[in-house]
Amino acid sequence: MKIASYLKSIILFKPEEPKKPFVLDDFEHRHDENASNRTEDENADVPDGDEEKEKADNDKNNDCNRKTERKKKITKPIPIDNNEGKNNEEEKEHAEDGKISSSFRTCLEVIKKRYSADINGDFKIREFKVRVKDKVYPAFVCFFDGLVNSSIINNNILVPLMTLSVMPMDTEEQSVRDIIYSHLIPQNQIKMCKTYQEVVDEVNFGGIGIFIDSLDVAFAADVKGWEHRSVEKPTSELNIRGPRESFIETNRANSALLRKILKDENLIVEDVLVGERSKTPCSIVYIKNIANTRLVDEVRKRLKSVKIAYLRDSAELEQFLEDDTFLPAPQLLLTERPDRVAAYLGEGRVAIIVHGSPFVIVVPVTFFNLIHSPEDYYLRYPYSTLLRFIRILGILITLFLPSIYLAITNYHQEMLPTDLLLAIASSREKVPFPTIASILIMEIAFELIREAGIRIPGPIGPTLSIVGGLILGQAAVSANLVSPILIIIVAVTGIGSFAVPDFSLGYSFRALRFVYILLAGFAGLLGITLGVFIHFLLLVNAKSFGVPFFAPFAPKTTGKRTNTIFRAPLWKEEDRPDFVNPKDIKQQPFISREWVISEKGVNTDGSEDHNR
Amino acid sequence: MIIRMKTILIFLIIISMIFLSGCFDAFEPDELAYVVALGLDDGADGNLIITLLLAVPIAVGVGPEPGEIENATNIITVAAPTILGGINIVNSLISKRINFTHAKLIVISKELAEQGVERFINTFARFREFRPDTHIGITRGSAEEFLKESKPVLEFNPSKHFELIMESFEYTGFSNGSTIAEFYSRMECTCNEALAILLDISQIEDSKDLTEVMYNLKNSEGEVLEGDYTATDMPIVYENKVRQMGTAVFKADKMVGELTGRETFYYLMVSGKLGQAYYTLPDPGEGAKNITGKREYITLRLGQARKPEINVKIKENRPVVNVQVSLEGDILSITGNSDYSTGEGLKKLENYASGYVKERVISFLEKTRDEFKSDICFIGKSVKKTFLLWDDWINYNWAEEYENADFVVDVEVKIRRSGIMVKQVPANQLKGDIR
Amino acid sequence: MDQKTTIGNFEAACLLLNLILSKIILDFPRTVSEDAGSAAWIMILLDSVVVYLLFLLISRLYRKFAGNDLLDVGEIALGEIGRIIAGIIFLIQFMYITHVVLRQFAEDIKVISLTSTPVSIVILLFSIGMIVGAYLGLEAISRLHVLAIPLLAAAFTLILLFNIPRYDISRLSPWLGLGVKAILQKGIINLSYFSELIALFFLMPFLKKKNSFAEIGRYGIFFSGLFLVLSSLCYLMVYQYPTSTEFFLPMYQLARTIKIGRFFSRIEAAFILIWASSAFLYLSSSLYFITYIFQRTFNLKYRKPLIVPFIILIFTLSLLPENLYSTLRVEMHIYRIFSWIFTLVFPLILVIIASVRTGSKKRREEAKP
Repeated sequence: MKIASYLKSIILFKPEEPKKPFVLDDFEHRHDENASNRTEDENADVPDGDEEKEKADNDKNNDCNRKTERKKKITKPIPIDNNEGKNNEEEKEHAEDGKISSSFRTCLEVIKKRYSADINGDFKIREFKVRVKDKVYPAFVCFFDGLVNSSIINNNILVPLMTLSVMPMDTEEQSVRDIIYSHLIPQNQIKMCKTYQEVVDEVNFGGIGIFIDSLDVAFAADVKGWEHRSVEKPTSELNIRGPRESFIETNRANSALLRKILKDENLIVEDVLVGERSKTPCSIVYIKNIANTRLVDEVRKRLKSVKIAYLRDSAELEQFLEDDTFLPAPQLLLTERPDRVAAYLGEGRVAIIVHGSPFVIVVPVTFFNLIHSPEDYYLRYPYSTLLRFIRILGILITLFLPSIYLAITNYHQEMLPTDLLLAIASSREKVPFPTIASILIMEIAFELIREAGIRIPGPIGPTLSIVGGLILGQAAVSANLVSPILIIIVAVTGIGSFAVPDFSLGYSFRALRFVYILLAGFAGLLGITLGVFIHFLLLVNAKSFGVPFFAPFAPKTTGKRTNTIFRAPLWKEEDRPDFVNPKDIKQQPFISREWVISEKGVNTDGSEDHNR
Repeated sequence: MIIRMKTILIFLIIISMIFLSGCFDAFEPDELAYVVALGLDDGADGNLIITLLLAVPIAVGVGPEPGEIENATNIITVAAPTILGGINIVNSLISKRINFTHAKLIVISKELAEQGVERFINTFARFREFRPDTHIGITRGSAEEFLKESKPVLEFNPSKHFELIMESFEYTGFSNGSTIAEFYSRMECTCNEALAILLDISQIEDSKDLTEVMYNLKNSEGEVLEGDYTATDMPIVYENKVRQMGTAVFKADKMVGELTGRETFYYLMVSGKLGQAYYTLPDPGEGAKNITGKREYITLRLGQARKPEINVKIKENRPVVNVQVSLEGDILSITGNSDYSTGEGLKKLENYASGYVKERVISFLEKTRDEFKSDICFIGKSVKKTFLLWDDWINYNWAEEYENADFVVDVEVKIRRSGIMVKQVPANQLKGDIR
Repeated sequence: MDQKTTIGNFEAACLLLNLILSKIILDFPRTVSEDAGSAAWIMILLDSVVVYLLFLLISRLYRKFAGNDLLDVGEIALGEIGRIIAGIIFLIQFMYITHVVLRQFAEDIKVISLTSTPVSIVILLFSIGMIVGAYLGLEAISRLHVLAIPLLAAAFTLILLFNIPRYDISRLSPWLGLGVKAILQKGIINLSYFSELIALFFLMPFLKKKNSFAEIGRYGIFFSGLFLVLSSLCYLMVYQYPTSTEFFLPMYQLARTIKIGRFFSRIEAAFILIWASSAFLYLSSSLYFITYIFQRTFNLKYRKPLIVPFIILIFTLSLLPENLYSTLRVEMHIYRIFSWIFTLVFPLILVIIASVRTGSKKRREEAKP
């Protein structure tokens, strides 16, 4: 028996059909691709075709088509509704026009369908009864568990709806809808919605949807209560003086932080939803009577035209908004400090807050804004001038030190003092690599340490920096891989790169120094000059929201340049930067310290100063 | 499509750069041999004997402890008709490529200098690697010997050694720190003649010989003050045999004579290049000679109070040169009993010093006129200033006119302070009074 | 063409300054001292004054045509043919000086730094910069000028200041050098040193304020005259007349002799940065002008496609001279003798004809009704 079955299994052996491997494929997408292919084929065929009319059309459109051809290929997201089975006529009708049905049942069905309530674990629906004008209406609320504050729902929505309706009120002549809206939901933010989409948007963003039978509207109340970070110290823009709050991941909290500083009713926080699917709330923030209207319009236009599926962070938005993708410098400023944003708003710039990102975008910026640190304003004038000087030195060192070292030692040996040259020559005596190779080795090693230092889990970090910094350098020297002077060069370059206040700008300099090293290795100082020429040509050609990147200097604007490379005393900064074209150019009057004896020797109260 | 072309182009450029890099002019600093000093001697048949003093970097820089390697320098001698031809021969011999960008000194033998230097000075001005600030010196013997004997004692770094020595004239006044740029410019100048540093190797082996040397040097007045000799006769015994003292005077490109250290001092004085230097002069006063008959001396620190004023007037076709030198100084030491620190004494000393210096400046100027026939003190400048047209100036021919020049010299010495003492109470007299 | 391109007064003045002054770092101080001996600075001072007066005359006549460039004026004067003739003349002028200067800068770099690199590679390096500059257009170039010119001027002044210990006024004597006749005769030829002033008339349509060209020109001539006089004066104070004619690169020679203490000497290699950046600015702006003039002359729609053909042409032309000497000869004995006629006299004639014709037209129009 056993044998028979065994033999049978051998004879009738049939290899198991290979399981279909999981292919993440979208039928709709494939269909679309075919369609686009087909259209391309058609286009290709048309010139050969005999239909003259088509040909003429094609010729006519040819010019316009060429540009839009690439755009055509981008597949558009397909609305969910199309995929759904359309069995219920009524539902179909409502789904199409999106109007809320007065039937409680239908609403429930639509909502359940919409949210796939049977498999969506965190989507909650609570059904109950509301009693208005001695009549009982079935109702339900829906919300996402975790996104909302349960106690607000209980106390401000469910309790009044379920119990308070028995209280006597002078509401005889009012409709049910109005009674509920004005008496029964004592929640501060409530919205009457006509379409499902409105309710869905609210619910997706921590609201609660309230559906009541016999009403053709639904109520959406804002009961956000998700977990978020509290306001903490800034982590990347540290300072010693000045406020120590930083933005958090919540849109409104961030705008509140700004309002807390500016306290100005002209501060506008304009909401825009970005993201086809994520519908991330973003806010354009500006001061109405300072910021240039055209600038605000431009920001609004760009923001609204951004088509992205899921917007998670302002850094992503930055890449959609910037003028030039390939420019080796950031054209928007991302900061986590409310005080800095407030200062820029006061100058007539515009900020963009993205929900979910602790960084706020400021536009337009110039190169000089990117090398400023918020602390510059909180320190006394002489100190901050010195600080800026050192910072610029740091930038120059980061960019040029390794390449200049290479150019001088390889091409212009006469520039070095004789003692130093002999020292370099003797230290290189046993090094097998050319200078350019050893510089590249050490710079790459440095970048490795730096990158690993960021990615590494916390406790191991310091160990790595010790290993990298000390042992690697020391060992490289004693193994005669590099000369000791080179270690100094690389170390100073590394330190210099940390002095760049803007993270993004720092990256650009770190990357470009490799280009400069190659150029210096190629043609010495001439190569570096070529690099500088092209680099700065690109930079001066760049624009950030219509403002030239080197604005007060190139092109030279007529306004006072008090706060660019170096700072002027705070009381001298009378004008807002004129390249931003603010509506009001004066920041403070000419005499901003009224107690000071004026230059003519006359006190502000009219008495003369004879001691001058 | 355009974007793709652009990226391809950029990549091509970058790749070509990587391949080309280091192909042409890049030299690692350890691939070069740095010449510290260059010596030129006359070889037979128009050849030059070229001596290179190379720095040995590992003896100077990091690596072994300083001094661990015996010689910080390396000497190569080659014969060739031109300098760079000789360098080519050397390059085929040594492992590194000769580089002149850090040369500090060019030594030319007197024999060669008297034949004329233009034919190789030209190289120094034309070839990029020679620095204009390289010093130029003339040695009485052979330049090769000179470089061989040159052994830095206070320094490990031979280049620093030469550089510092040649600049020392600023505080000694015994030399002139002539550089290639200066030499070349003066050689081609129509109102001026070139000069170079005078160098030599000392023959004095032992300090016992010093007495004899001093005796031989004695002049008519029977005294030898510091600097009354050239590099050859310097009464010094030192491990390093190389000496620097005095000036080699040129007319056009040919060496015509030598100035002693003291005469060089007067040259610096008249041309306005004197720094602060010690200057000794015999004591004029009653205590000029002490009981044993020895001469007493005063040492001053002299410096230029103002730039010298030189005016030239042409009287009866002879240029009359009016030189006004004003010096200021401090008293540093007085060996005799007379006190010159106060009142009358100070006046007396000032007058005496003015006269003393004036006498010697005149004899120095006359030496340049009569013996060298060469204007090295920029006197021609003030003649040139009076001309309007180039042709007139060339026809005037200052180089010849200088031989007829008359000198009117006015020297003014001001003693400003007397060290950290305001007066001197002679101990001998004090004791005598008590007795 | 980007009609929106506008440049401010300061940008235009900087552009003009660099165009005129970049010859200082080439051979200017030497060539003038060859022409007038120790009085070269007087000659160039006189030239500046003459050019200044000439410019005042031109700018007075030009006021009517403010906002139009010379080609428009040519068209007003002689019709379409006038524009094309003017265009071709200025094109040749710019092409000629650009290829000579490109070769000179390349030789310059080759002599002082990259001695064994083939000159074609050095020229190629410069060409890359020229392409990028001309591609990004006048706005970017002029803005870069604003950043660079103050630095270059400061560095240049620094060279002159560091040489103060070596200055000797008596080297300027004999005061009239090779004679009044030489100064006047050669002075006329040396008006060509201001020939790049022509660029101002092509900047006209881009200026923010149409009438500010006169001011720009005045300042441009004043400062370029100042720097030209200063450079020749200082060079002659360091190297007296016959020696001054020997050196290929006078300013390099001045930078070479800088010595302040033992450490701060031999720094002339750092001045390669100055030489090369001035060269990049000059070459890229003149390439821009070449393509711009060509486009305007023949009424072309696009400018950027012209860049590559013209750079290839200039590259090839600049490789034509056999050696350093013939490069110098091409500049000194051919270009300088004729260029002032094309750049100073020819525009003057054009403007005069144009204003006469517009004047007569206006009179005719007035007479008609």
